[in-house]
Amino acid sequence: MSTEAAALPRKTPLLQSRLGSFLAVLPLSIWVLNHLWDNLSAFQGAEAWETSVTTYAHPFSQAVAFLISLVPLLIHTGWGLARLFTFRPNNLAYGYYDNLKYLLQRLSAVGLLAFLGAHLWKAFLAPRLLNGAPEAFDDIAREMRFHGPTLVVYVLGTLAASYHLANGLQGFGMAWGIFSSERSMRRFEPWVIVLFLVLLAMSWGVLYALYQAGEALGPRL
Amino acid sequence: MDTAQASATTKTVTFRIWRQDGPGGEGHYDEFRIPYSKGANVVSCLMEIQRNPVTVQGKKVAPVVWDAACLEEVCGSCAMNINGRVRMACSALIDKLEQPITLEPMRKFPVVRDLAVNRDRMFEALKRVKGWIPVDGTHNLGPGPRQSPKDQATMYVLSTCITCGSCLEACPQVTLDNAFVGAAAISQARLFNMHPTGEMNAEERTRALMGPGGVQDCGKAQNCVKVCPKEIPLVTSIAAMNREVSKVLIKDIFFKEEEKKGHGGPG
Ligand code: SF4
Ligand code: FES
Repeated sequence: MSTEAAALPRKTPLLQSRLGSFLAVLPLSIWVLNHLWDNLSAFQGAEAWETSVTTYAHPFSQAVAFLISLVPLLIHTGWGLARLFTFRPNNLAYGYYDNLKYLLQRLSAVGLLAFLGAHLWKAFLAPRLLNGAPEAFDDIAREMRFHGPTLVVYVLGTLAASYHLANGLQGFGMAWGIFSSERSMRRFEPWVIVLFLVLLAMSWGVLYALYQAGEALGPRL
Repeated sequence: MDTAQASATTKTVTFRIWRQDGPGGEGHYDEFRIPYSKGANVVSCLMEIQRNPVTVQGKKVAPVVWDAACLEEVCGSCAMNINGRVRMACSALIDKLEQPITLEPMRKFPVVRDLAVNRDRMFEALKRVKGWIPVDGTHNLGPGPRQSPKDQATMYVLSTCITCGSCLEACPQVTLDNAFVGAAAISQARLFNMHPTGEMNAEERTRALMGPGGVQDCGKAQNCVKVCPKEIPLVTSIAAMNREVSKVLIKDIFFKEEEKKGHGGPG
């Protein structure tokens, strides 16, 4: 057995792959859900939003929050990028529903990468690095209402995120052997759709609240 | 064959066939037109073209090379792209195809010539997952272990794989030069792991799916199960092997070598 075991392929790629998918669910998906939930406080106005989104009880908790979201995001992105280079879409010849979902998962990943790049820079890094303070609610609300491209990018970006997360969860279930048959995957399908709609409703709800708040504030003088 | 009818109507069948002289070479399409005959399939038409390989332009060309052996969808050698989709040529009926019928070799395997491809990667994959049951010695081993009819029924379907390569051809995760073993080998690992004798080497087969090109390269596009001519539940096989791989992974993390059991199941 020992000589044979030595001849067997290394299992590192599998471990990397499993880590890449695992971190995306735990903690990243949970974090995204929490992030959306916090942002829903935009309905309650500036103060509530700033308390739940950009204020941290302690600088330490802030650091932990960033670590929990950004490190898995980076690892997941690295894993996904490597996978992106080896796929050959063939949806025209094989126009099946699952094949479409497969393609959309990758397209949404690319869109998401662009969105998160912009989102992280504009809403997270730039205000903190350049102004030394997190972005104010009024600024973001105004931008949502009066800067067309921002609204479009957020609407599409959150759409991509909702899809990628919901569909990714099904892939995760299969990759880890939680669903060990095609039938169990199928039975999870409605839940994927429900999850997608819930995430979409939450994120578009936040955008709507910000838009409304921007309207009330009026353009910057 | 209904010759009276065939000659009465001057129906013809037109083919656009990919021609390539050798591996990696440039290629082009040749067009052929042959008389229609009722109930013909792609392989019988290729035979007809072979008898008189003259293109529509009247040029005599080298006969088309293709693979086929059984003509009844059990040898797996005739898989090719017919009108852009992978199919078994011997069961592709002309009456059900749109003309001109375009024939191309599978793209995920190196072309040997024209429509014939080299399926070595599939056999390498089978060797990698040890797609067999080691039998010890040449003497009479007596009756094998019993198995339940239920397991037998499940395994029977898996055992019908003809290594045609359709599942790899339709898979967007498989490319000509990557290492992904593909659905067929993963499904065969499941088959031999289920077998009461083959179970002894279950862990080896499972571990073989963990290296580069292993089961983690599956992207869940699920085309394999739709194109498999033998209707093998490939997605279930992949999911089942994913579970086995997860078990090995978790065992590796939490158990010491001497505490591990050699194969799947409780323990
Ligand atoms: S699993 Fe099906 S499609 Fe794949 S090689 Fe076997 S018979 Fe062909
Ligand atoms: S010739 Fe054997 S499968 Fe087609």
